[in-house]
Amino acid sequence: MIISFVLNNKLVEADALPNQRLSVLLRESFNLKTVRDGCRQGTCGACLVIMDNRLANSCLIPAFSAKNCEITTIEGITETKEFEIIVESFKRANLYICDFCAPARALSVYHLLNSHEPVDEISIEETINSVSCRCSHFSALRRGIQTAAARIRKGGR
Amino acid sequence: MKPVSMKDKFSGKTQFASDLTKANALEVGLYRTTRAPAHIEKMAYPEELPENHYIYSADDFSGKNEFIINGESHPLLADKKTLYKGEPLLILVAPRKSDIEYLRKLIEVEYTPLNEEEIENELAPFHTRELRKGNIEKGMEDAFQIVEQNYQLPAFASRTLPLASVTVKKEPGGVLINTQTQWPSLIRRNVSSLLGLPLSSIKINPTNNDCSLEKGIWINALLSCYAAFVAQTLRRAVRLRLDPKEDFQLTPFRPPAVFYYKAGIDSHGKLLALEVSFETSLGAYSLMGKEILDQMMIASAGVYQCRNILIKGKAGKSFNPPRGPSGGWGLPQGFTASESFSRELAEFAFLTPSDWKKDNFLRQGNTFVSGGSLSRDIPLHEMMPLILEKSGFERKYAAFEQVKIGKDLLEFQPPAFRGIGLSTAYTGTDFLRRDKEISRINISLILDKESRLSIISDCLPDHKSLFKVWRSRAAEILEINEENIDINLSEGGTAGPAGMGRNSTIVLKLIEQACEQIKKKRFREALPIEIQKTYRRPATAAWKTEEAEGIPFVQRSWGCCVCECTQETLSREISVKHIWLLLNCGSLLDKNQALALVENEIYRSLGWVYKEKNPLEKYDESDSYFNICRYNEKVDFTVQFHEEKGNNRQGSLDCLVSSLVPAAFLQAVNQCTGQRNQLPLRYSELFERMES
Repeated sequence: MIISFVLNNKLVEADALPNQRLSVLLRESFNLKTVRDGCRQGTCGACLVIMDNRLANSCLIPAFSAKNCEITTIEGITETKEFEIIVESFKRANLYICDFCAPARALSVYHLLNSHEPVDEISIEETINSVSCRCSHFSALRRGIQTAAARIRKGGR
Repeated sequence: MKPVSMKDKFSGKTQFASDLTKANALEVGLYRTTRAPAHIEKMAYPEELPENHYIYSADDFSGKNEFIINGESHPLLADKKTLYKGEPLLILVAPRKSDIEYLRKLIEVEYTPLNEEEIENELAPFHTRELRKGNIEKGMEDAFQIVEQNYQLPAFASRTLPLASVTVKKEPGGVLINTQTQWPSLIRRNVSSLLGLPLSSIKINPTNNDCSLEKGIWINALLSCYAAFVAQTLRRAVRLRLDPKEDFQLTPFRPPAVFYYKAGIDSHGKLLALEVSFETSLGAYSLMGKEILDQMMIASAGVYQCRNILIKGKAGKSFNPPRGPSGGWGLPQGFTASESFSRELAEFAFLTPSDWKKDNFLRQGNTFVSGGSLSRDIPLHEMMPLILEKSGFERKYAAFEQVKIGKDLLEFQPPAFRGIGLSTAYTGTDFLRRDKEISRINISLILDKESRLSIISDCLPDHKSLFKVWRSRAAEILEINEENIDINLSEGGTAGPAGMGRNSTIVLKLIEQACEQIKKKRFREALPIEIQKTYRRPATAAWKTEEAEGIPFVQRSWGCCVCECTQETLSREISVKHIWLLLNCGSLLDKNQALALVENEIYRSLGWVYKEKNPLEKYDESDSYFNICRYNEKVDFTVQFHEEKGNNRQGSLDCLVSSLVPAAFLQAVNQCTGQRNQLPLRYSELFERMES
């Protein structure tokens, strides 16, 4: 079925097959390879997207249910100031991270910082938990998120 | 191989093998056996297939139907017999992944199970080793008491991402293979032998993206053979991606092992004789099995002095997918058993584990388990007091032991019982075996007229951050800009696999030596200057593989670990309260990467002993993906690196934490529950033990 939805702030159309996952649709039809092909069970979090302001594992979502939704992938936020701050904060926190989970990590942190929820221990833990790759040193990850949140609060300084 | 910026990493600009496909590329899949062990009586599939749909069997290979690693082999496709369920039987090719499923349904295979005699013949062990030192019988005779114990350690299966995948492009005269690899020469050699092409025509683009390379050692090389065969036959670009289930079942993992220990100690607890028998199961085919067996044998004797030793090891066969060498090459199993047994010996000698260790650690002049004489005390003598003080081990051990002994006399049950464990281990650089195929390293450095330096090597690290270290060391020595240094994969290289710290120690050392030589020649000879270096093991290290004599490994790293656990009285739930780690791996190249690696290994180690489902049990699809502790079950830990003054050499961190944490954890659990010799821990068993 042909569906239309907003992908990274642009209205797009795609032919969604009945048994197709959203992650496959994004990878194959829109060449968005940052939506990683991971566990396909919704556990690893490598395929995270922001769907109608919520973090979602796109491998668990049928492609057709994206109809009329707003979907953001990492490509949609790389030009934003927040993304620059997140990268800079992780750099300052000496974060070590693998290439596979890095986009999903950045997207989950971007979502936290834009969700108007308080950035506290619990929300940071939830954000870290949304991606289960264990490549990182978590205290550095936590430090990076806290720094990014503080800088965004101060208007990017 | 260009350096990747943090921004590119987070924007996802780095690509993986499965992303590198052309629009018209064909998909490749594998039809796997559904029964094993069995004879394959008949395979039937239609000869007429739709356009761009193909099925290939072993008969279609022009080269040998064999995948060889260091003299040990696995058939590329099962032919007349299958030894494990899931063994590749046919190669399926179709335009789309969904069409592969269509092809799968067209295939019919008839199997006949192997009879009992055939099964018995098949199950002959792959390798056996025996190491004898001193007079074991005399040692046992002189002993004040004899202590015996058995240990059962499970296989360790942990899925790693990204999923194994290969893309192959047909090029004039050869093929270009994109895959994640830490052993390009293995791919080159096997693909070349299958396709009958010269080594130089097999080009490899390693898509190593700072991700775990557990599969990189041979799974991707095996998949490359299938994909390259199809690409060469059809002259088309192809892609082979494993499904998550396929990937999990076939990713090589830590083999299970059983140990039997018998030791004689004198009245002061001094170890007089040690007898160890162990058996590990490598699955249906042994791949790197000799190295695994050697490392397990070395680790099973621990870090203790003993004049009379007898170790018998066996690498057995089973009808399971091939296991190993990922997940520690045999060291974690050996150290977990030997360190748990050292705790038993301390208990029998009425000593605390720390006192027993201090009395029995190897000292200058002692001989290693293998017979090599130590030129100085092992660093654990210095490290032990530091970790004991930091963790309060002795005080806590005494207190917890009092509670354990007087458990029945307590008027009321405490909210939780507690336990603490102490373990020590070592790991080393380079492999124990001296076979050229795994131990060879060649590098070549070329300084051209524009002062650009090319480092050419095919000993590739999984983590690109090591390239940064190589670049900065070369730039420092030659006083050139880091941006003027390129790192390239050598064409037709023959180096062994990256692993066992070879990239951070040996390759770095070779780069430093080559740069020093270029520096001397730079203003005397015309540019370009080319220096080639080949690694040769130092004669002093003189480890003799077949005889198991000398001092194992080229450079050793040492570690101590203390783990404190609690078991709640009501729910019987065990949780880790704190882990202290003190690691001595020479001077650190990248502390952040080292910390990330240590943290990762802590969780994986706990997965092996505690959370992980035993993969020998029936595979259950409802298993969570990473069936290990999640971040919300976070473990508090303290990691310190013990850097010796004047020691600028880098050591390996590989397997060190995996060797330390399970042993310390098992001892801590033993103190609070009494469960002492079997992993993984299961609530039902713990509950039974507590209730009895």
